[in-house]
Amino acid sequence: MKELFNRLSVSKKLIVINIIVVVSALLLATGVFVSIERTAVRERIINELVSHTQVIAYNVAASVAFDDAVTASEILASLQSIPQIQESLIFNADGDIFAEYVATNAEEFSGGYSEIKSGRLQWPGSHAPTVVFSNEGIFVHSQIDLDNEVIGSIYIRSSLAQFDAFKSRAMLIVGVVLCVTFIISLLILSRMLRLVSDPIMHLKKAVSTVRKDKNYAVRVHKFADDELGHLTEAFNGMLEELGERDAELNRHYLELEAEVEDRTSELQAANISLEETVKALKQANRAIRISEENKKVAEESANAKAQFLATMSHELRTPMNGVLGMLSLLSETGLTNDQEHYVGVAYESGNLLLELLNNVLDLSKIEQGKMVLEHIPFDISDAIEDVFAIVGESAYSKGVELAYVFDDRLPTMVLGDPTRFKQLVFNIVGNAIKFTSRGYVKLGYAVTEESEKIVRIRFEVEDTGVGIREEVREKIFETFSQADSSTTRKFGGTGLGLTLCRQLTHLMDGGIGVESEEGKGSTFWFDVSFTPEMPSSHDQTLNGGQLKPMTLLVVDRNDTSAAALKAYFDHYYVKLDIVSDSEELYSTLESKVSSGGGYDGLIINLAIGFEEASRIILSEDVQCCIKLSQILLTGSLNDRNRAKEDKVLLNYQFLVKPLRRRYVRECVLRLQGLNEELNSVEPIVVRATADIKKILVVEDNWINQQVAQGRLESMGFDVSLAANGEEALTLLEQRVFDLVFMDCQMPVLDGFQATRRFREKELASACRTPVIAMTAHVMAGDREACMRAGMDDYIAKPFKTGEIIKIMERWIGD
Amino acid sequence: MAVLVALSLPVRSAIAEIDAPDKLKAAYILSFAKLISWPQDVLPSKNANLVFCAAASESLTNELRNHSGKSIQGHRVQIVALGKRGDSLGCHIVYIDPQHSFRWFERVKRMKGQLWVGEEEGFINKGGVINFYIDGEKLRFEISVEHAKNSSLDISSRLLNLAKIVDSVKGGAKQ
Repeated sequence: MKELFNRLSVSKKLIVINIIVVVSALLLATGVFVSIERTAVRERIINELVSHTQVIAYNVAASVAFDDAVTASEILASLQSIPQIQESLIFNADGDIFAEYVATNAEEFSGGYSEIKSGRLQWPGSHAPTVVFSNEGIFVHSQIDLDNEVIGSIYIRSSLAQFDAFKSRAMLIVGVVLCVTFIISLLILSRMLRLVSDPIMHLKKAVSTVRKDKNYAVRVHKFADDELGHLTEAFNGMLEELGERDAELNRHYLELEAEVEDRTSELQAANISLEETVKALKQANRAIRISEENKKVAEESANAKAQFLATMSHELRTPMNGVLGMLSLLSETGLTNDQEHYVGVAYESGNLLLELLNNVLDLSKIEQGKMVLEHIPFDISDAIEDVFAIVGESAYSKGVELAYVFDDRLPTMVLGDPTRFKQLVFNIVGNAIKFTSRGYVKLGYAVTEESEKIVRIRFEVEDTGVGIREEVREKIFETFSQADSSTTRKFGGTGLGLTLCRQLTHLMDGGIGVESEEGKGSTFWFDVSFTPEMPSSHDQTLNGGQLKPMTLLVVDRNDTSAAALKAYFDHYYVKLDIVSDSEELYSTLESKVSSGGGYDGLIINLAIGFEEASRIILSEDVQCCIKLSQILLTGSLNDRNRAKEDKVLLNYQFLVKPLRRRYVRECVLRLQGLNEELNSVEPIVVRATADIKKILVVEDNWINQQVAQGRLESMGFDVSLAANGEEALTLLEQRVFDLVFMDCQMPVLDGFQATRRFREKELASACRTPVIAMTAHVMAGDREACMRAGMDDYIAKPFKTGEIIKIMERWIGD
Repeated sequence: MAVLVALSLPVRSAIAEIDAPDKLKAAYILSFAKLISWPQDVLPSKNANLVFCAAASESLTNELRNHSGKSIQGHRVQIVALGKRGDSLGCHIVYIDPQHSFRWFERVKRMKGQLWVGEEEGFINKGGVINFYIDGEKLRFEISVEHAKNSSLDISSRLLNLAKIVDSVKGGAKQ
């Protein structure tokens, strides 16, 4: 039933519900009405019958009293006018039947009289008639009395015809009313239902249209502002959204399609070109394979060559060290002048050969990618000044002015590899000096790029040498080439220096180049980059507050030299007035003095000549105005040595060129009256130590052993020798040494392992013997490895007396 | 139809002497009282007795006396035996049997509110109101409406329906 109902449409459901409600309401109403009416009808029928009975009873009373049955029967016969009365009986006082009436149309009914007999009809008391209403009929029994004396009774039986008529009429009315109501409610419902079902049907139709045609433009008419109206609105809104989305999807789809088409055609085109390319590539590949094989062969042979060269250089260096060591020992053995000269030439030649070997070794290292740069803080100016100190004498001996134009505005402290940087400067400046016979060589620098991470500095070395022809300018940086092969004969040099410089500048992320005019000189430039470093506290700058402003008079004909002097003194807040000869000097001095001023000092470059310098110093103008202590001479170390033999110039302060900030600073302090020695030259003095120190040299190479032994014994040490780590450990167990020189690369047991074992054994005893590593070439990684193994310091081979003294002072000095 | 039959019967049996049980007659007489209304002045209140006077045989009088004390129309029934006395004053119903009728009608005059009941032929003509007669086996009675009116008595139609109505004036005058 429920399933059947569920299958109905909404409108049919509504109809069914409405009909059920209407019919049940109607049935209830009519049922109540009919039952009320039925009771009323029954009452009426009974009352009617009772009243008939009483009339008859009254009329028949006399007949009963006078025993007149005939009259009684006649009276009873009057009941004929009431058709529903079927039977009537009159009883006398004794209860016997007195008179009787049976309707002509009476139905056969047996139980009439027995009703009274059986006691179903009670003898009525107090005048009220007894009524029985049953399905068989209506029975009334009433007494008959005359003047309050009961003289008999009457019984009447009536059929239910009246009641049945009422019932059928009621049924008919109910049926008709039901039918009419049913039809009317159906009519009304079918009208009203459309208010509800129409929107639903519209919605349903719209939904199926949308589903079937995918037509999102459909809109449903809104009928009323009820839930269905809201549903319709929501549906419309949803459709709109769906439509938009659909349109968007369509658009996307179309775009995609177009794109796919485009791509496809592009791909086809690309495919075609790709096929062509592949064809070409195959051919190219074949060619490349062939050339690659060739290249491989070439590379292998080049590598082998480089390897051979490196090995050769290394192997050559050891005997070279031996030669040089022995030659320097020989020169200290009190030779004749001629002998000393021969030994000197031999030593210089050996040195040149060693330099050549070192360059070859460096180049091959760089080419094999084995060169690793250090990354430690150093002062650029110090490095340059160090190099200038080395090469200075060779320039000044030729009469070439060597100047470093110091600029205190530039950063000097950087992080980098000072050794390689010095090598670079040494090679370029050395090269410039080599090809310059008069004039000057000047180095200046400028920062081209500066940030927190990088500082790039461009150095320029200007000379007044022979210059380089344009067509060979690039060639000079190539291996073993010089501008003119004849120059080698004339100026010497290996031709490897510039090549090494180019490789070094590349390593330092820079470049190198040259500008030149043949016959007038060249300017070599190179730029390298460092990591910036904060300047250290021990700056050699003087506090400006400490100094009083000074003005010095300078006699110098060389502009380069004057410029360098000016730059250095500027750094210490000293002003220089430069004059070029004695005439100018006197006039300048005179005008200065006459204007009430004076100079705080006089600097004379000995390049003007010793005689003129003496003349100037001894002149009245100078003598009157400038104190003896305020006169400074400047020149090369050689000049200084010569000045010491001059009876006039002997007494004056000397500022050695090439200039160093250290020298200038001391000089300025002296002029200021602050007592500080003008220490121009580092004394290289062999110092005899009081008690004899025991030294162990561990070295596998016999030549090196001999060199080391000779040098150390000449310095007054007791030297023992060991050929490898094992021997050294044995000796160290037997005897106590003050210091150990340990070679790193040795057969049997190398220096690192030997040191490590020695340190382990040494842990037991309280003392610690310093171990100094001896390395052929100090590399960035080597030193760290030495320190890790437990060594204390290192020294580069071949030994130089100065370095040995430094080591001795540091580790076993007083 | 019964009336017609009743009308014809007395003519046939008028001569025959009425010989009916006295008990039935007494009951009839009492029933007559139930169906007749007396004038207000004769029977003024409920306290007044309804006086039955009998100028009849001892047996009938005794039968009437059995009903004495009963209540009819709210009045107590009182039975008075007249005997040979002709004084009927105070009587509401007087029964006169044939033995007493001769002397009765000689000295007694009609009285207002007095119902005369008899049982002989010609009783109505003599001035009676209700007269018994035998119709076959059945005791029946005849009534003179005129005489009743003369006596100021109102007889119920229910009683009249059962009786043979006789026109005593016409009939009596002619005879």
